[in-house]
Amino acid sequence: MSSLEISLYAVGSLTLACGLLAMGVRNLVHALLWFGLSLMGTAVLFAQLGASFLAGMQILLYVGGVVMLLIFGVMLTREHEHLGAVREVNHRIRAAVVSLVLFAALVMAILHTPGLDQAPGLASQATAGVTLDQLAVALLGPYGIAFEVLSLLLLATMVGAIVLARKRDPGEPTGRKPIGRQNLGKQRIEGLASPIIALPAAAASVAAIATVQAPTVAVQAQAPQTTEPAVSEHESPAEQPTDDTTDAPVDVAAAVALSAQGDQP
Amino acid sequence: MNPLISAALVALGLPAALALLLAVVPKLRRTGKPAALLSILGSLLALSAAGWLAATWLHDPKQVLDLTTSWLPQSGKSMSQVGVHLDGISVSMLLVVAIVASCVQLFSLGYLSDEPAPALGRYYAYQSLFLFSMNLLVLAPDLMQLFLGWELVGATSYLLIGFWFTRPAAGKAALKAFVVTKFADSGLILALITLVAWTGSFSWNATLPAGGAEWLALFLFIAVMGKSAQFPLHIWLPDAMQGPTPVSALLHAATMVAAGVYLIVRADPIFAAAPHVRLFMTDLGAITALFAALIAMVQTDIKKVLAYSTCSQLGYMISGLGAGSLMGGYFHLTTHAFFKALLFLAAGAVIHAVHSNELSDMGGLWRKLKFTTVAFVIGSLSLAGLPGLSGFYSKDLILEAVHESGNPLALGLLMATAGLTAFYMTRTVVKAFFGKPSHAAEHAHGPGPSMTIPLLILLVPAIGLGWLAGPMSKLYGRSYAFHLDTIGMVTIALGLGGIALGWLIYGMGLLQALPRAFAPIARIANGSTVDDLWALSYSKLGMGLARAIAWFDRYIIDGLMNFLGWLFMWSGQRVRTLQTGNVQDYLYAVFGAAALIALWGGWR
Amino acid sequence: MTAILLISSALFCAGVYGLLSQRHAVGVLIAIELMINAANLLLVGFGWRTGGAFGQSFALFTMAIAVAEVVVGLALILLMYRSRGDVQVDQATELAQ
Repeated sequence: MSSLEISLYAVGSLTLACGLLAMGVRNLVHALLWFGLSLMGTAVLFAQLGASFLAGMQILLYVGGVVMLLIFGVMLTREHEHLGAVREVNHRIRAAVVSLVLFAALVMAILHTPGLDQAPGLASQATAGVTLDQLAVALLGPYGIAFEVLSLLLLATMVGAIVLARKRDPGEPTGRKPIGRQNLGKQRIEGLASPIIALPAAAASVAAIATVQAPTVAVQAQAPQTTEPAVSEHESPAEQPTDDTTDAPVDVAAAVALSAQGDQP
Repeated sequence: MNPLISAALVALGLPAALALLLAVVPKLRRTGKPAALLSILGSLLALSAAGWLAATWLHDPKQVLDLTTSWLPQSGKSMSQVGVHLDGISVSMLLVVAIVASCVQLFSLGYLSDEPAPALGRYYAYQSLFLFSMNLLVLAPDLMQLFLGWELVGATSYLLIGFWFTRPAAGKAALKAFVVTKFADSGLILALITLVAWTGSFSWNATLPAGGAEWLALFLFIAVMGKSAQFPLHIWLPDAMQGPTPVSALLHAATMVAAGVYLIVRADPIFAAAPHVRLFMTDLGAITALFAALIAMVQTDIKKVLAYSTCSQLGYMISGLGAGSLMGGYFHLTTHAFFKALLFLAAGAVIHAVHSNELSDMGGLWRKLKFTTVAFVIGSLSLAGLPGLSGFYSKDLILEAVHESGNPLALGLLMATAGLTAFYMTRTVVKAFFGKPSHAAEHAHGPGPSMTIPLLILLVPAIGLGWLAGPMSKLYGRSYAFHLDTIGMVTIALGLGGIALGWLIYGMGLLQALPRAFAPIARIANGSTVDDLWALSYSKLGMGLARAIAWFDRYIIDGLMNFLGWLFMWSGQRVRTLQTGNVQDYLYAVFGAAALIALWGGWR
Repeated sequence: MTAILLISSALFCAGVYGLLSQRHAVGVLIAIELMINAANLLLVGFGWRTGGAFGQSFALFTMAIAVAEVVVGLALILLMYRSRGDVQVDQATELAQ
């Protein structure tokens, strides 16, 4: 067992212990704190696997963002504290049985899969890691569209969260609002709000996607030539059976394969 | 088109057109007499067509003419042929039907002269419909069309028995006739189904599977038992006398009840291949003949005497056909049609004169109704089998055939019946026309010309048809030569003995102990006994079976359905508890299933 | 590699356990986050094994989606709190009615 594995196990078991505690304690705020620790443990695991940028993002996004959000959520909905965060014992036993069976199955599958630890270049990969600029090129290059779609998703999330959690007027029923003559104007303004936000955002996204297309093609065109001229896909049809799609500028699958190939040192 | 076929189409289509006309033009129907004359004219035209056909066929008996169109087409060939089929058998029956129907329609004009005009129009609409139906049956090229005619004559029989529908008894009798014959008609439907299932068509001459003819003949014979009033399905015929007397003469003596016999004649290829059914027919016909004759001995209603006598004579025909004598059975049908129609019409004249059916209201009528008396006596003698009259020749043929078929039991029964027939007809004649006149009889009035002319017409074949047995046999495709042997002599002796005995007892008032001795037997055999047996079998067997089926339906069939419903309700209630609405409980299922699938995959 | 797979699946199963046993809606959300975390770890692990940036890229996407999911989830929890007065998922059985 290599030193990396030993350290992975050590950090992993700590992370797992924190996660289990987060799922087990009765006090929800304590649970959140344990959950935060578990996320930090994951961040350490990321770092150990050479993903230092991701480790940072993990701490920033999760520990800084998600956990704080959840604490807000807990504070906003504070009630029935005496009941505790977890359900009755028989439920917990059932849940434990189900999750243990699932775990056993997963472990069995993992242990029966051959060749997990004998991949070529594993050790060198671990030390080298993925540099930040490689990640940046990948995100804005081959995955540009996904990246932009993600930004749209975040926007939609934002709008959705606002609409869902918006406090209604005191007199308003919680269900669907009847449209009376007197509040027809207000309705229209409210109804207009989301398109007013969404439409420019969508337009901006489309524009961004359109601009990203050009570099994508550039990267695609450059990648095999600059970094790995020897392993051109045209010369290895066995590895790339779909080589006729290389010229399609928005073919994500081809782009993924291409970048994966191009990134090999 | 062949003019012969045109004539047949006239005989078939004219009554149909008249019936339709009278049915759909109420104004014409309500005029009464003009409608009646129109219908009589139609029947006379049909008669002339039939007469021309019969003359042609007497000249050339072997001729067969067909005008048919395919019906119920089936891949390649058609199941059924509809149209007219002319051969010796159908032409002779057509002539019989046309003669009797014309006479009866003419007679009805006088008999029903007291009826209101709309009722008279209705009566003649039914009569035309009957003539069409009967001709449809007679001219049928195969079993399917015969079945249509068969059911139509059943329907018109229902309508005509219930002609005086304001009388409860007439309505009940019509219903009884309809239900009983319909019950028997299930046999015909079975025959239709089996015939088409085995041969793919309704033709008579198709090749049947081994043993198939027996079944088919049995099914057909069940229908015949109903239509031709064979024991124990004869019970509707005496009740059918509730209809007007000319109707009884036409439908319930001469033609419709003979349709069963005609069916057997038509289906001769099938019956010829069914010896067991033929044996059964011989015995059952003989039993019916004797049984009905016994009942006829004690009837006090002149029409009921004739009705039971019709049963008895139909038994003769069935027995003769069962013995294999198509000539005997069919010839007896023909002669019987004439002399029985004559008897019924004469009885109708009597009833018209005294306004009663009861023999006790008659007596001594020969002084007032001389011609009617002559007609009735000649009809009775023909029925009794007096040599020289038509009934003798046909009856003799049947008895010889039964003798030749080696069935001494049936022969004995039939010969006893011959004696009894002579006896009860003498009794009727004496009671009605001779002896002391009753009060009603003294005020009797003679029949008009519309009633005497039919009697006169019918007298001719009732007397002389026997001499035409030779030509008739050629029409049927059989040979005939008259010869008198022991059977015939004994029958003549029995008939004369019966007449003499009847005269002794009823005419001269001697031997009064004999009727008293017969009384218990007659009471047992009397009308209601068989009805009671049927009612009993219905109330016990039928209702028991119905109750058993109802129980089965309620507790097994419905119970199964209810149990299924209950099962799904119950299981639904049980399964419903799984639907707690708690998302986590659903997640148990999701992850439990995922775990199990993963385990299963890992195991393999 | 085995180590990462084992740790990841253990974390995932801990998340499953939490998902099934938590009473509080926020607890359920935590459990879901834990499971996503485990999946993330798997992505990074496989990216590490095969090399290249795709594993980390997708891990980043997943993180962003997870954050979005938390936001929507919290909004739902707030709505539930307002309409029901509590956030006990084991009490929320309206689905069965």
